[in-house]
Amino acid sequence: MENDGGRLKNMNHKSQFLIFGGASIFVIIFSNIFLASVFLGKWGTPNILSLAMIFSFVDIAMITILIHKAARIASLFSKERSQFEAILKNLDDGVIEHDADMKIILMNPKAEDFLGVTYDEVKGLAISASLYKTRPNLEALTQILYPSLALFASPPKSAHNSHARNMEIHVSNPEKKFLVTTTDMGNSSRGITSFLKILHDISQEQLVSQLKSEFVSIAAHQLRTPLSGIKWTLKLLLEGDAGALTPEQSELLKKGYETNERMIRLVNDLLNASRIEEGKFGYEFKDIDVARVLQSLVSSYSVLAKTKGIALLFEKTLNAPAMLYADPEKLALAVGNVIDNALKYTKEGGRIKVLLSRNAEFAEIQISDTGIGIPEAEQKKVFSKFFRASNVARLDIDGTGLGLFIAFHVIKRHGGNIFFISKEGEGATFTIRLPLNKDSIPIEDRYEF
Amino acid sequence: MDGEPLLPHTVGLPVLIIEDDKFLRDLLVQKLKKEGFFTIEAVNGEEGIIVAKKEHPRLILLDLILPGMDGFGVLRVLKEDSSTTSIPIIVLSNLGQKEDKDRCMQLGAEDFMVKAHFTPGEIIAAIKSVLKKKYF
Repeated sequence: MENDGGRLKNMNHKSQFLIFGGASIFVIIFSNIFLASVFLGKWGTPNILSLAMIFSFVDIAMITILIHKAARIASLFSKERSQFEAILKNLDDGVIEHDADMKIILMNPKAEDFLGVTYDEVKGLAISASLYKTRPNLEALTQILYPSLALFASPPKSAHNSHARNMEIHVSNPEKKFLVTTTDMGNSSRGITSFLKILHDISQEQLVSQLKSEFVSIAAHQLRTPLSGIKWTLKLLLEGDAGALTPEQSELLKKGYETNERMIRLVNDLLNASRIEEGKFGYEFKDIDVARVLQSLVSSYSVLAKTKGIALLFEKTLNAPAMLYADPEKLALAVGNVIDNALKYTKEGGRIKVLLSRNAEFAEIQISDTGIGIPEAEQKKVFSKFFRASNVARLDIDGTGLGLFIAFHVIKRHGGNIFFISKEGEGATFTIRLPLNKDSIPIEDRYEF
Repeated sequence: MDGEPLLPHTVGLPVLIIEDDKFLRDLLVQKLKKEGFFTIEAVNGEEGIIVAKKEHPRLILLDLILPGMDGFGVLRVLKEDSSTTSIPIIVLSNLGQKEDKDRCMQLGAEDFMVKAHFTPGEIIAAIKSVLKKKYF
C-alpha cells in the first residue's frame, strides 16, 4: 500500500475516496452558499469574499485529488481483474462458478478442457439434470453439478478449517476422476449467492498411487523368496540335518538366523505400512470378546517375557466391556506392537501390565511398562514412520520404527485414539481408547486424520 | 481315490511339490526325504496338474506365484477335477495378504502358510497334521 502520509497512511484508496468525496460535497455546498450570498450582496464584504474564494480553491484541490483517487481505483481494479484472469487461465485446476439456478457464470480454460465443453457453449444456460440427454457434450459438466448422476461420488467431507466441502467425483464422457471442492460465495449486499467448484484431476494420481502400492507389494513378495531360502537353509543346518555342529558353528548360525528373521519382519512391516497408506489393509470388523483377544495375545508373549525376566500380566476391571466391534487380527497386531516395544525397552526384572477397562463410552486398554521411557523432546514423533528414539538407537535393540505407525493407523481405523505418557528412565504407559458405539467407526478404509 | 487305509506318515507316501524356485524346492525335498516321505516335483502349474492326475499324490504343496498358470488356477482345476479333488493341498506362498489366504481356503485348500514365516520343520508338522485329519 502506498504511503499517502499522515493519518491516511493505513486507509485504502476506497476509504480515502469516500472521505474526500464527503468532505468535497460539504465544501461545495458551503462555498456555494457564500458565493451566492456575495452575489446577492447580503453579506458582501471583502473578508467574506476571500473566504469564499479560499473555499473554492480548496474545493478544486479536493476534486482534483478525488479524480486522482478514482483513476487509481479504476486502474487497481483493472490490474486486479487481469491478475485474477491470469491466475484462472493458468491454473492447473478447473474452476466453475454458477448461481442457484445452475447457470454458469464463469469457467476457466482448464475446466473447459477437463469437461470437454466451452464456456461460450453454456453461458447463460440453466443446466438441468436432464439437459445432457439432448446435448451429450454437457454430460461431464452435468455430473459435476449433480453428483448423483456421476459414475461415482463420495460423501462430501468438510475441508479443514473452512466452509468448503470436498468430494470425489468420477465422470463419464470424458472419463476422469476429480477431487471437487465446493464453496459458496455469499454476496450479502446484493443478496445473490453464487457457488464455486474447483476441480482437481486425480485420475493420474490414483493411477500412480496404485502403481506404487503394487510395486511395494511385488517387491516385498520378491524379497521374501530369498529370505525364505536363507531361513530354511540356516534352520536345517541348526537342526543338524547336514551333520553335527560345534558349539561355535551353532552360535554363528543362530546369529545369522536371527538377523534374517529381522529382515523378514522388516519386509512384513513395510508391506503392512504400504497397505495401510493405500487404504487396502483388509479390515474385517465383527463383534469380538475383547478380553479374550487380549488374554490370548498376552499369553502368546509369556514365553518371551519369561526368557527376558520381565513380569507380564493381563488384568481387567469389573466394568470392562464384554463386547467390542473391531477387527480382532488388526487390533491384536496394534496392541501387540505396543507390547513388543514394552518388552524390547524394559530391562530384566521389569514389569509390563496390560489393563482392560471401560471409560464412559470407550473401551480402554492400557499398556504400562517400567522400561527406559521416551525422551520428552521426541514424544511428538513417536507415531511417525521409521521413527526410533535416540535413547534406543544407542542400544543395540532391533526395531523397524514402523510398529507404532501401524498401531496408530489401526486404532484410528477403529474410530479410537492412542496416546501415551512417558518419562525417560521411568517407563511408559500407552492408552488405547476404542468407542463401544459402532457408529463412531469410520465406514471406509480411506479416512482423514 | 484308493480304498487302502494308509497311515499318513508311512514311508513311500508320495507328496507332490509344485514350486518354481529350485533352491526352495530342493530344500523342501531334502527335508521331506529326511522325514521319510517319497516326493515328486513339478516346476510349474501345468506340469503339476498332469503329475497330480497321473501319480495321485497323498498331498500337494502348492506355490502361488508360478510361471504360466498361477497357484489359484491350479487349485481351482485340481479341486474341480473328480480324479484329484480329494487330494489335500497346502498352499505355500510368499503372498501374505488376507485376501490371498481367504481365496485359497475358499477354493478348497487345507492350509495356507507363508514360506518366510515357517521353518521346514513346521511345514512338516503341518503336513502330518493335515494327513492325520484326512485319513483318520
